[in-house]
Parts: sequence; C-alpha cells; structure tokens
Amino acid sequence: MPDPATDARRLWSALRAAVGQAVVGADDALRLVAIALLVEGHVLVEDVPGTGKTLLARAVARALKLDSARIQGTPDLLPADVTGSSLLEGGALRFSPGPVFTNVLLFDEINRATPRTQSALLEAMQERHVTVEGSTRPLPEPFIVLATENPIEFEGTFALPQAQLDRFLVRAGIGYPDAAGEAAIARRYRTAAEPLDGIEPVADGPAILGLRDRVREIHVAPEVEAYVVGLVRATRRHPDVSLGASPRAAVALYRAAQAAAALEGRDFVIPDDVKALARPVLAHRLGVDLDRGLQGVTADSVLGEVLADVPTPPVLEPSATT
Amino acid sequence: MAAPNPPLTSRLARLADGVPLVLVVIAEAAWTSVLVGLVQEWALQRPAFGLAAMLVVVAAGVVVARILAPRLDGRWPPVALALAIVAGAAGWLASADARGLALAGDLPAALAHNPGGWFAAIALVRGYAHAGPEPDDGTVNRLLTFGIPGLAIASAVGGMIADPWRSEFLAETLRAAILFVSAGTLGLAFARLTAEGGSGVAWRRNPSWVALIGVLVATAIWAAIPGSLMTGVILSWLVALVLTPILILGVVATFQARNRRLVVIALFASAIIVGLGRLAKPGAPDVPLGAGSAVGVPVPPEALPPLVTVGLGGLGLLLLGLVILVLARLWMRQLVPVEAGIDETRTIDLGAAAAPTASRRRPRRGLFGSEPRDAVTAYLALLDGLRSSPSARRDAETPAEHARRVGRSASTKGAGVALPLLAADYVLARFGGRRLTAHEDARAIERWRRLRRELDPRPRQRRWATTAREILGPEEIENRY
Amino acid sequence: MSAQAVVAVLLIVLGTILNVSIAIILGIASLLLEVVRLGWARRGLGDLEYRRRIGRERLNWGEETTLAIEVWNRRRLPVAWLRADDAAEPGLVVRERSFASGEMGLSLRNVWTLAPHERVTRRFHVTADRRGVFQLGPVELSMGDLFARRAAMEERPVIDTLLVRPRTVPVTPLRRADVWGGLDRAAAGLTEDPARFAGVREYAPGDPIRRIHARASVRFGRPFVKRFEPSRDREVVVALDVQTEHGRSWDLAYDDASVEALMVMAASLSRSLAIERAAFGLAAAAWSGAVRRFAIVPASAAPGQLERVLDLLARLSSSPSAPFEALLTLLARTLRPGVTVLVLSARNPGPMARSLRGLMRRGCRVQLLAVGPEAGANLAVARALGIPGVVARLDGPWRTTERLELAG
Repeated sequence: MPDPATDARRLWSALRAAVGQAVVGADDALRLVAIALLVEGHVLVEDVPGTGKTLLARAVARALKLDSARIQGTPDLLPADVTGSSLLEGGALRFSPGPVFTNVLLFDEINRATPRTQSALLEAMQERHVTVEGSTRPLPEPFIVLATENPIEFEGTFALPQAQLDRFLVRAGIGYPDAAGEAAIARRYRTAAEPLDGIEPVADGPAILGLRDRVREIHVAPEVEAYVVGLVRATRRHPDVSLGASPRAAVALYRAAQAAAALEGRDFVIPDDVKALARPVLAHRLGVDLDRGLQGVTADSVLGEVLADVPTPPVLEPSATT
Repeated sequence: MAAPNPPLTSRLARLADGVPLVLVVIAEAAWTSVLVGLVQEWALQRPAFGLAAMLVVVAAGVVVARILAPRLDGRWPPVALALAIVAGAAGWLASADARGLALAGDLPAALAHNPGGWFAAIALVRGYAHAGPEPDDGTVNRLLTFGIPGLAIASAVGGMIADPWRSEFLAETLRAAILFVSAGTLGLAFARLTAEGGSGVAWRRNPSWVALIGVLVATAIWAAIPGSLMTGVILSWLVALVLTPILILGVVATFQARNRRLVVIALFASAIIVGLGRLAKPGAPDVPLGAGSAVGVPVPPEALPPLVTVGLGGLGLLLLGLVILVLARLWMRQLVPVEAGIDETRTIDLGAAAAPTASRRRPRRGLFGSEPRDAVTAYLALLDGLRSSPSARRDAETPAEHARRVGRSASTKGAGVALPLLAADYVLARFGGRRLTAHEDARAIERWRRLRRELDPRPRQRRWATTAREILGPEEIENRY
Repeated sequence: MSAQAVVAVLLIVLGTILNVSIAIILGIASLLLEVVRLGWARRGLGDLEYRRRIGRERLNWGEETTLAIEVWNRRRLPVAWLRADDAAEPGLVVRERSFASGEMGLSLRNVWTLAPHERVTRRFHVTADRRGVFQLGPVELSMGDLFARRAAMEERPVIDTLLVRPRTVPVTPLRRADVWGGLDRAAAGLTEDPARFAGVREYAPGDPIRRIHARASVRFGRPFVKRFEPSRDREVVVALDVQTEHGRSWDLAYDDASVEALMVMAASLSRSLAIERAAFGLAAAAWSGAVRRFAIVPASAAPGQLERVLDLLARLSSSPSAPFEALLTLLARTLRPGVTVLVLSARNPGPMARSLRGLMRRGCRVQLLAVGPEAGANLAVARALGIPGVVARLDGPWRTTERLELAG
C-alpha cells in the first residue's frame, strides 16, 4: 500500500494545480485548508474584502468534488438559518436542512452574526452533527468550515468568543497578490466568465477520508513532541499573555504538523513543520493582556518571542558527542 | 548599548583642548611681528624682538583679559588701555639702544629708536580679542580675511627698501606668512567646529579630519612656494592662449567637427611645447628663499634652476599625497569614543551588506578531535564545535534554518551544501527514525570533516576591531558581532 | 567664485606684476585651499545618509519609546561637522536632551563630526508630557566643509508622528442595566432581538415563514410564529462634554487641567468597559483632525475597540467644536434603543436637559457622570430634572491620580 506521505504529496500537487487555475497567490492559505481537511479541522480566514476567500472555498470544493455552501453573517441571522428547521407541509413536519449540511461551508463575516448563531455553528464544527428540535442529524463527511472575519469593520460586529476561536484549527490570510498575480487575475476573466469552470476534480470525499486516517500514522519523534508541548506551554508562561494556548491547541499543532509533513511527502515530522505552523495554529488562540495590547503587543509578536526562546531539537547537552 | 566613555578628562585631553587657542595666538603673533618688522625696516633698524616675543605678548593679553575683564567689569576698558600702553613701552624699551638713550635723558633720540616696539601694544590688544573660553570663529575669520592681504601689502611695501634690511624683512615675513596661514586656517577650522557643535563635537574626536586639513594646508603651502616661481610664465601663457584660440575658434566655427578637434589638439600640443621651452629659462626670484629653510620649508636655494625647484616641490607633493593616503587609511578604521551621556555607537561602514567580521576565537580543541561514528553524532559534534563561533546554531534554530543562515553568510560560503546535507542526514535519522546505511554514515562523517575545516575560523586580528575591543570591551563586541 | 578666491587671484596677479613673491605665495595657498574647499562642498549632502527610527508610534501617557537617529558618511573624506535639527512640537520630551530654540521653533539638535565611511547611531528615549499627536520632523541637515565652514543645508521630509493616549486608571464599578441578565426592559424597540425568545402568537399575513414555530403550529392546528423581546442592545456610549468655559469664548477657551481630567476619565471608563467585554463607543463634540464637527467611535465589542477609542481621545481638541447639545441630539437620532449613554460633563446639566430627555424618550438609558468642583450641585440639578447620575472624581490631579471614583 502506498505510504500516506506519497499520496498526500500527490494530492497536494494536484490540488494546487487545479485550484491555481482559478485562484492566484493563495498557496499558503490553500495549504492550510488542505491541512485542515486532513486533520478534521476548520479554518478561520481573516482578510480584507476582495481577496478571493469565497473563490478559494468554491475552488477547493470543486477540485475535491465536494458540495459547498455559503452563509453571509448578519445580525439577524438565526441559528435555524444555519442548522435548518422543520417546516409544516400538508399538516406534517418536514425537516429542511440548513446550509451547514454540506462539505465545504463558507461562513462570511462570522463576526457579524450574533453570539447565539455563532454557538449553533460551534456545535456543528465540534460535534459534526446538529441537533434540531431534539433530533440529532450528522453532517456529511468530510466537513470543513471556512469562516471569514473582516478585520476592518468593527461597527455592528461581535468578537468571536475564545471558546469558538479555539475550535478553529488554523487562522489563514490570503492577502493581496503581487503585481504579476493581479494582472493574471484580471486576464483570467478575459478567457472565461467563471474561472471555476476550468477546474477538474483531482480527488473526492472518500479519498480525503481515507488519507485522513493514514495521516495519523505520520511519525513524530519524541523530541518533536516535546517541542510542540514546549511551545504551547511557553505561551501560557509569557508575561504579556492573559490566556495562553490550551491542550487542544497542542493537539491541533501536533496533528497539523503531521499533515504538513505528509503534504511535503515525508512520513515523519521535523521541527520546521512545527515552527511553520505555530503562528497559524496558535496566534488566534492567545489572549493578549489588555494593557500590553495598548502598548503594541500582539499575539504575533508574542509568538515571535516564544519561537525565538523555546529551543528546538536537537537540544545540545555539554557532552553531546558521546 | 555603548560601553561607558573611557576617561577623557585627563590632563592630556585638557591640553589638547587648548590647541585651537594656541594656533590663533600664533597667527596673531605672526602678523603683528610682521608689522613690527615693517616699521623697523622703514626706520632702517633691525627688530629688537621677533615672533617668539610676540607670542608671549599675545598670550599675556589672553591671560590678562580672562582674569581681569570679568572681575573689573566696567573698569576693564581703561585698565586694558593702560596695560596696552605699558606693553608698548616695554616693547620700545626692549631695544638696548632705546633704553640707553632714555636713561641718558635723550628722550627724542630714544623714541626714534625701536619705533616698532610700540606695536607690542597691538599684540596685547589682539590677545584681549581671544579671551573667551573658545576662539570665536567670527574673530578668527576676520583675522584671516584681512590678515592675508595685509601681509601681502606689508611685503610689497617692505620690498621697496634697500638691502640688507629688505632681504631680512622679507625672509622673516615669509616665515611669518606661512605660520599665519597655517595656524590661522587650522585655528579657524577648529573654532568653527566648536561654534557649530559645541563641546560635544570636539575636533579631537575626528582625528582623520584634523590630519586631513593639516596635510592639506601644508600641501597648499608646499605647492605655493615653487608655484610662485611659475606664475609669471603661466600668466603670459594664459594671455597668449586666451587671445589666440578666440581668434582661431572664430574661424574654425564654420569647419566640420573633425577639423575643429584637430585644431584644438594642435593648440594643446603647441602650448605644451612652448611651455617646456620657457621652463628651460631660469627666472630671478625676489625672495632670498634660502632663508626660508630655517622653518623647515623645503625651499630650494637661489642657485637651483626653476625646473629642479618644481621637481623637488613635485616630489614633496607626491610624498605629502602618500602621507594623506596613509593617514586617512590608518585613521579610517579607528572607532572614536562615544559622547558622554548619550547612547551612541559608531562603526566604519564601507557599505557591505554583512556586518564586518570580528576576530573569532578558535573553537575549543578536543571536541573536533573525537571522531563521530555516524551521521547523528557527526552533526552533533559539528554543532558542539561551533558553539563559540558566529556560525553557532542558535537554540531556537532548526537544523534547516541553521544551515540556511550559515550558507548565506559570505564568510562561510565555502561550506557549500555540506551542512544542509549533513543536517538532512541528522533529521532523517533522528526525527524520521531511519537507520542510515554505513555508506551514508561515512559520507556524513566526511562532510563533518570538511565542515570543521570550512567553518573553523582563524582569528583575524584587524586593527580597528582590536581598538573597538579596547574601547567598548569584549562583552559589547560579542553582543554586536 | 567666492570672495576669498577672488582675493587670492588678485594677490597672485598683482604679486606677479609687482614681483612680490610673498603675495604670490599667499595667493596661491589661499586659492588652492579655496578650490579644495569649493570642490568638496560642491558634493553637498548627497553622500550623507540620515535616518530616524521611532520605536513605537503609539504610546500611553507616561510611557517612553526609543528614538534612534543614524547618520552615515558614505564618503572617503571626513566631515568636519554635520548637524541635524529635527523639528519638534511642544509637549515632546527627550530624556537625554533639551530642545534647541530657533527661528523655526523647537528642534532636537544633534551635531557630529564624522570620519570617512563612519556610521553613527544615537539613541534617545522620547515621551510626551500630555496626550496628543506630536510630529517629529522634518529634519534640517547642515554640513561644514573641510574647513568647517557651513557648506550645505537641506531639509529632508522625514516625519514621524507620535500619538500619545491619555492616562487610564482603575474605575470603581458602575452598575449598569446593560449588563447581560439584567431585569430592565426597554420601553420601546423597533426591532426584535432574535436571541431573546418571548413566546408565540398567531401567524399574521406578512410574518416571515422562518419565524413559524413548528411544534406550536402542529399542536394548535394552525400556524403560530415565534415572538421575541424588543431589541435592547447591550451597548454603552460615553458622551464626552469637552466644554469647560462659559460665555462668549466657550468654544475657544478651555481649562487645560479640567479637559485633561475629562480625557483621563473617558479613557478610564472605556478601559473598564473593555475589561468587562462590553460593546462600547465614544462620542465628543470636539475636533479630531477630520472635517467633521463630531468625533464618534461607534459602539462595538470587536477586538481593537479600546485602541480606537483611546486613539480618538488622543486626537481630540481641548476646545469644543460644537455645542454638546447638538451632539446629544445627533445621538438621539442615530443610537439604537436600549443603548446606555454615559454623559461625562463638568457643566450644569440644565441647558442639556432637553437633549438628554430626548435620548431617554428614544429608549436609551442615560446616566450623567458629573465632574469637577461643582459636580455635587450639578448632580442635584440633574436629579431634579429626572436625569439619573453619579459624581465622577479623580483622587488627584490628572497627572498623579490613581483612581476614578464614581459615587452618589
């Protein structure tokens, strides 16, 4: 049986090529989405409008032959608008599933939805089922939520509670493309009205599920494990942090590193994988002290210090050559 | 953070702070001595005292003004006048003849002797002008502005008298003029520097600048002396060369460009030929230049033809040019001490991207001596051996990051891909749980041997780094480099 | 050609004609030095690099940040002196040095003498003695030639801006009805809060289908829809009355200490609200650098809200831009019912009573925080007018206060 790393590498190459036909300059974000797919995680996308978040979600869904749906976060969005509700039809109740019953759910401007609606999504993300009027209904697999936050707008928005932020595996950003990329984007619409039309599926849901189980087998050396734990614990000890990363964050970083190694074609995790994923996995889970935040300290700056302070393996002992 | 300032309040530093004032005093004494000499020459008498005495008088004026002026306040002007008269009288009575006649009661005759001595009063008054804590740049600027043409006029006037007084006067005036220009220019530069920057920008903090202007002034004077012999020739050339080309160019304006170029080249060639021809004819200098040698001015004696004079002067110029280059090079790399109270760091940056490499200590012996047995121990041995070097792996660096950083460093480019490959072997074995073959282990050990040669730094003791170490301390050097 | 050069040439020419060698020597020496000086000075400041780096652009009052000024002589020749005058605004304080006073105002003056290729970095610590926006720069560079005479001068548009936020101090808790779980109900509301279910009612034509309560409809055999509480946003807006003077010059004159105390209070309240994770905003009738008369940060619980409010407080002018009553009228039009408005004012509430009642009629909960030496009397007036309030008092001058107390 081919090793999971080889399969994952092939999938990644194909996915990147396919999605790249529609989305330009989003390789980093796509890589994080692929990692989230392989470890049953969800992605929080924080970016300004117009950078292709919706396009990315739809392109991934098309490339992986998955269903996709989109929800626009608004203050009057009800939980039932997300999960679905029962409708009265001819004297009987019929359950009308909400948009959450899909493979790739794009929740735009999640910070505009009320906390109650956000909580409804939280259950779906964590439990992978929804409970509506007492009935539990499982969500399709694979299931991934790409929730976006607009960092510019603040009026009429609600901050995501820490409990919900912790449910997102990674935080990604697409950013603006470079000049060549922006020109390529404009040219793309010259050749086709809908760039997604040119995307051919490279895998499907069952393939993703099968690969997901095998990614768990990616080897993690004890020193690398210790490094993961060391990073997470260091965030809790940092003086500028009021809330450090949780044990769930350590699991997330561990598994994300496995997926990252697999995408590189390796069947073992190296410290570089952990380091590269530390910011996407941990930054949104940290709570910076209010006063330190006023002094310009951010979660990114805290993580920078943590990454610079925590020794990476190999940790040299005085007599390392024996 | 810069290391604390080394103590600069030593006596030597305080003496050095007085150098600008000394230079200005020399300049004042120089021109006043010329004035005395001129008056004496017209009286057909030899001066009773020279530059040295005027130095003392000017210095006395400075000291007296510094002490008495603040204390006397409104009463200072009449006291100053009285002291000036006393100085003038002392100057007059410095002549033995004048003293004798005065003591004999023949005052009119006594007054006719050593009239120049009275100008010691002017020297004292000039000393008053520099009573401030630092020489005032405006005062010194005016001194030079009027002093240079004044000396020229004095020498012209003095040149009208017959010998032997004329020759002696001109010789003394030449010496004084050289001293005046040198000391005045340097003193003015220091005064301006202090005026702009205050005590925080003391001239002694920039020895390269001091050396450069000193050498430039000396060079200018060196060039001026032989050059003075050629000005007549040059002026006549200029006159000929200006008129003739104007005529010719007017004619060739209608020619093609190629022809014009030919004409210009021909003119240049003619000028060079004519000039060399004229150089062959000796001129008659009006200054007994041999007298100038007393102050170390390499002046050729009268018997030498101008060509040799120019040649010697040119050699002097060449030597001076070399001195400028050597001094600039020597001083260039020296770190100057930081200003007290301000966190300041100074480095010599030639524009290279990488920070200059400081001397690196040889890694500890013995660690590279024990042979590793496989790729893992080879990599760990390499890291252990690099602990004290700039190529040492930082605690938070992964093997790949470390290899990339070392590879980017210009000083370790010779390591090539050996380090990334050794690191990759280590990672594969340690993190990937792989068992490497004997061949792979041997290859890794070979890379280790090569890397310890490439990355084993030889201590490079550069002068400026040593100086930096003396000034800033070894800890600060380690922190920076 | 400079005057010195002209004199030198004259000396050479006249000396040659009159055969006065010393004049020629003096002329040549002077001319050579002048030529060297002019040739050197011609290069100007082109090879001299100047850079200024400020550590942080935003400070809280009392904090310091680093300021690094770096100059680099890229030439092979030394520079006698280089002077940099960084224009500074009153209020900025550099720990290591006082500002120099000149024709163009205050400046941070640095002078160096530079060796060839020498790079010098000077580090300072800068702070401000009050809140505000302070500009550092542009920089005027001047340089001496080889003989230290001023040779070149130019102004470089290197400008840094330092924003200093007002002080914040701990606040005694303010009992607000906006806190979640409170028993107060809004008098009226135009919208229903979908998060506060309040029962069912019969379906009426026009009701949205998604509001149909399925179980109730099945039980009753006819459609029933869900009913929700009127929307009562848990938002707090701090309305800051900057006016401290009365009479004709009410909009031009101000009591500096009183205004700064108000700013400290507003900032401290905002910080307290941020700690409680409330959705809060700020409104003031003062200039903030924009053309608008009113400075408003809408209420929000989004990350960074406290920074936005404090930044606005840093920018606010000390004198009002419009009558405070006009701001209150605007808020009455724009705020959602149920918003709590904390009015921070040092004035008698009488003239603003009408506007405050208008806010209350809109469904907003108004609370007056009376400030200043007449706070007690003003509070009594407010209560007599039916406006609830408390006295807000700092326990010392704004520079040294440790606490904001709310009492009454």
